Amino acid sequence: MLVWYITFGLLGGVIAGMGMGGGTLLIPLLVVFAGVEQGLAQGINLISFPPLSIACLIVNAKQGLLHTEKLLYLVLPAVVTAVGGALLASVTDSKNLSVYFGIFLVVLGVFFLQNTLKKDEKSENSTAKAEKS
Amino acid sequence: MKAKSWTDDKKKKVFYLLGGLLVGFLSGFFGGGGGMVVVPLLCLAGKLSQKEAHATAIAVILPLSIVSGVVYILSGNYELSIGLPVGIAFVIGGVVGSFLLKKLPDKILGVVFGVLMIVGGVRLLC
Repeated sequence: MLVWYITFGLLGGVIAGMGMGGGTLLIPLLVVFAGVEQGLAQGINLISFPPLSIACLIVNAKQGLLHTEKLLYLVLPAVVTAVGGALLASVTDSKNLSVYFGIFLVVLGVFFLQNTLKKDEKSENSTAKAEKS
Repeated sequence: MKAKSWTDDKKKKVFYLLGGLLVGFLSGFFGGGGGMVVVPLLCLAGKLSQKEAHATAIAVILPLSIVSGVVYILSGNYELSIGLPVGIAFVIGGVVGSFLLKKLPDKILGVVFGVLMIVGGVRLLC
């Protein structure tokens, strides 16, 4: 099992490092192929994230990409509902939690695909404009 | 002009507050995936570029991961025997991913990842 844990951790990390949300891959891999309970897989994903993200934040801040104006308006209510959501997950049956997560993942996947295709159109347009000028 | 910027400012605060409530719940309940919602929120309500939104989203998700993670640990949803190998591999993979990002074409990456998410989601449903 250890080999699979390491392999899935690596895969999830690679996706996270590319800025595409590692948990959305790591959690289903752990649940479907390693037989880890849904709640446990979610907990492992949450704890795996901070060490990598702190390093990313430092790099991003140095590159001037961080825009924290008014961000507390987003973060403070989010912290409150995050605790609520985590508590709700802890009393939700793991099988049901899997189903809810599956639905969430399909919705995210559809939005993500749509966005990728739209973004491509936009960047093609902008290169066309740049070529014109 | 002043009045317009005031309403824009207020609008941004309201969107951030409402979006924050949703993002927090999703991050806590699903233990991940919140970033995928934060990025479009920062682009639309915060008027950030894709790149800035991706960078800033981490600053939003980090505190959420920490507080939710504590709740998961306290409620017994964390095991060091699995969490440690996964976590160490995750950090190594993350460094590799940040280098790969510059080398692989955006579109193919996006499509592959989108399809993977849908397949993963369907597998969990069945």
